[in-house]
Amino acid sequence: MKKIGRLLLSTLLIMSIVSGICGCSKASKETPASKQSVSATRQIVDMAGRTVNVPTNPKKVATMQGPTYELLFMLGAKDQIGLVRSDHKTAYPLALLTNPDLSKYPGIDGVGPQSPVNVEEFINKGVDLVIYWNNAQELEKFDKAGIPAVVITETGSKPKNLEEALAGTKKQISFLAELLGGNAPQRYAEWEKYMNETVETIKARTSTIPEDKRPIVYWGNTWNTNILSTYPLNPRLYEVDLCGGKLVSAEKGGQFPEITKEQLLAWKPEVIIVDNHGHSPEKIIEDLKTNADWATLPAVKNNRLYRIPAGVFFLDKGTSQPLYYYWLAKQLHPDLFQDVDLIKEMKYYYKTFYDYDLKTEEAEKVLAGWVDGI
Amino acid sequence: MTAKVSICSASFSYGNKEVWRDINLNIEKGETICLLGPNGCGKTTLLNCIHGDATLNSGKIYIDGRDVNSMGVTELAQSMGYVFQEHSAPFPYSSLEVVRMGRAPHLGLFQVPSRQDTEMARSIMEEMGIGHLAHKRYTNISGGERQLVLIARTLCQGPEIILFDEPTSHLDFKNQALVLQTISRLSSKGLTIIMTSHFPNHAWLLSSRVALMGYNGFVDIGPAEKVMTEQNLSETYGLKVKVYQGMAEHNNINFCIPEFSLPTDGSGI
Amino acid sequence: MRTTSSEAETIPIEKYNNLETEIDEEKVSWKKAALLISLPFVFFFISLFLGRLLIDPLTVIKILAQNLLFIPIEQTWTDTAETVVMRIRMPRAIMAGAVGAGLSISGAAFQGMFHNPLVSPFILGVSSGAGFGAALAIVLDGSLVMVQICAFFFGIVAVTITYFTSRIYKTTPILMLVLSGMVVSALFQSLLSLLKYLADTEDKLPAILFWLMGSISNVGLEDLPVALLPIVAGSLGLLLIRWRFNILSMGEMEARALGINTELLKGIIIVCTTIISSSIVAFCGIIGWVGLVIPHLCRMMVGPDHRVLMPTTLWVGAAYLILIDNLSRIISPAEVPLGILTALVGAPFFAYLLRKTKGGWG
Repeated sequence: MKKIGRLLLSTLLIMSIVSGICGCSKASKETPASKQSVSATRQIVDMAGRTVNVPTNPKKVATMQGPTYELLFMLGAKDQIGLVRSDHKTAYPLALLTNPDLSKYPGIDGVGPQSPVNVEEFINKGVDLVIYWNNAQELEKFDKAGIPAVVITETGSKPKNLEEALAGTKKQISFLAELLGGNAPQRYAEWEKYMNETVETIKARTSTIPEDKRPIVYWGNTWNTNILSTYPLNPRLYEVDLCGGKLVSAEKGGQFPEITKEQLLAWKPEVIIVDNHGHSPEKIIEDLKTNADWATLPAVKNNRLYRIPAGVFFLDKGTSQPLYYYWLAKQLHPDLFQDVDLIKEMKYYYKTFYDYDLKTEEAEKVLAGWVDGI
Repeated sequence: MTAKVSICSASFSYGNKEVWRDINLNIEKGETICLLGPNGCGKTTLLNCIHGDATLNSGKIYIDGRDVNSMGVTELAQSMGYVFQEHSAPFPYSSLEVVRMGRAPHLGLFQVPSRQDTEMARSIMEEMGIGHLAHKRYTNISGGERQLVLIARTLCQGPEIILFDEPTSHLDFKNQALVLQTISRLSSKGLTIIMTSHFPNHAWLLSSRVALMGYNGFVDIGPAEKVMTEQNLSETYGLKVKVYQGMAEHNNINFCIPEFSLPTDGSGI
Repeated sequence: MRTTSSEAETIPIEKYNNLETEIDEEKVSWKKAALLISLPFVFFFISLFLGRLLIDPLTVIKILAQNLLFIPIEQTWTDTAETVVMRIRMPRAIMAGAVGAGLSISGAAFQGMFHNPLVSPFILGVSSGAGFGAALAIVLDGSLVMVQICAFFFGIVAVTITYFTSRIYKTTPILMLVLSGMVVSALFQSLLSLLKYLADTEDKLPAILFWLMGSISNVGLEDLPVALLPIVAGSLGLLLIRWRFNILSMGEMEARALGINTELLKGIIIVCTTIISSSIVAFCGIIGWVGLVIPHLCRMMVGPDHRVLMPTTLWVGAAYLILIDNLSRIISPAEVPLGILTALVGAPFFAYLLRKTKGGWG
């Protein structure tokens, strides 16, 4: 027994020494972080009501929460990016095409709304502003490390109409623009104009559609292995309504309610749209087509099953929402929107807001559901 | 003639600690033998070895000429019963159900007891005078009654040999007598009985033979009168014991009492 | 003749508590047996009429008559209604019944084997193992079938590790099994936590969390035979040896003294309960508070004799879970995870049972 004890002890000792050496050498490769006190700061109140001292001119922003990278990119602030989520470098087909610098940004793994964050990484990369989820426990870690962390999303809001729903999105992007400074606010103004115009255009045509001509839409978010996972009714029902449809979902049930099979059948959706990420949307659509359980759904019978396209980010999240509205309106009412050329709109958007000449084949691939990397 | 139970040159130790070494004992069919001895001398261990629950370091134990360790659990249970000290069960079965469990060695893996089995259990209980307990919950009857139920259960096995491990411990005066009476009756029916006990006096009441066990093995083996001398008892138990003889109606009764002196002036215990 | 004390006369005699010293040994009465056996079937039948899609009862009967009894009836109902009744409600109710029955009989088996009424079917680590297996398959991007196979496989692996860890000199003492079960459960729980940590938080992690909460809806009509087979096989095995549980519950040494090959018996029990629990967890996630509570309830109703107790747990367990599952799928459009409901109902109910029996088990 004594022999084993000694062996264990020496193994442990060796392991700790080795990891210590590795840790030191890793650290020495990175440039030491610059202290915040060097650059000018100002005090703001973020969307979660927190008072934060942020740099007036952030130079190394960590784009953690959701679509933040894409927001920054649209606002023309790609040179202010200091750290991105690793999956963002490869998960979206047009992200790399539109921004060749993307692969050079430092990346970080394992961050999420519920996950514990390793703040040291942020310090090592010299991050001076973090855009993060509203997780009080993790935000405090940034606070203690002296890195300003900001929440730009308003959680728990239940908008009562489309204007309020859109206002939420606009507030998020404009707030970020203010944070970034420079050209960002102006870029935001241009974008807001485009968004408003798009909404007006669509509304003009859809507001007169009578109730019975609005297709029933079910939105599967593919975060589980089946079609039954969806978003709560509010606020997406306004978007779908804008595009001339009627969204069905549960009002409660957490962030991603799981619908019962019977309920889905009872709703009789005529159109089913699925998020284009997560658990193999192709498999889910395949299941919809082949499984006898779903055979009676109007959406299956008429093959109105669509995957939401993804460009620099998912079309329905981030700044590309206007494109998403055009896309959805076209799926729901092709006759009313025949004149809308999605490819032309995409090219315009990409040129104006991403500073990129989108090729026709690329646009077609996106619309066909392109999710593989480059 | 082969003895019913034969212990040959048996040794046993717990790890490095030796309990007994090189003991021998032959028990004849129909005998009742009592194992006496102080705490820790290994009486119960010997019983467990006879029952095949514990393994000897060396030597062998034979039942009807067959090595105990070569016999399967079920086979052994068909001819040997073991009455444990009474205890409470985790679930409140009826006493009849507990007694009926004794039929298990004769039933296949997927069998349930038949009506005959139930009848046999019932009649054994009647014979023992505990028939009225049949429908009472095992957990609700007295300790003595529980001990009798366990004895009845063992009888259901139809054994030829019954081992008793301190059958009268934890029992009150009356229940001790009841149990002893039952064992005596079983004796007279020709069963081979091996029991351990803390009470030397019980040995005189019951047994044909006594095996007195000390910390190194048997001190003496033989009829109670021969083995249970004052000297043997005093040495084995480590205190002064006196043996008395009393006269009852038809025969003499022996009993022993430990001798200890109390201060006569009442100056403390 | 019953012994009554004056104390007993003033306290109302409640059936099946410690005041009553006599029990009717032979059999549960025919009336009672008929009631218990019919309960799950009645609940099952009623389930076919309940759901979020409103179908009038006559239509349901017509649909059943045509599909099950092959009576040709002119179709006056929608395809949707037929799909809902035959492909959604029916398989789900059947599976719910099987899950309830399987978990209950496994719980009773372990409570008997460990002679401890506080034991659940998951004590040897099957749920932690299966949870880990499912998470692994999800992280490796497997299909639903892959997830189920992995869960089933690792559930069995966990119990196997527990079994062999607890082996001393060719025996597996009860205490060692319990302790090993705790260790193995903890091990797989931490592996599961590791997987959750490594999983893509926007993608795989939610899927893992969904799965762990449990749902019977994953079993479709075509999956039923595969899902039911292990449950039926395991339950049958346990039923065949049900009398031996009485003896085993008295203690291992005593059981051996009565000629029971305890190692073989324990092996059979563990194998049967593991294939039942592992397949239930693989198909339906982790559903607790059924295997623990239902055997107690049944003991209160029919007594502790396992010959009668074990079949009873099948009927009562099946009826119970069909009832709970109906709640799960009818309360709202979104499914309420079964594990949550069984805990919400089971835990207070268990507390009530404890009070009623005053900690005794009869």
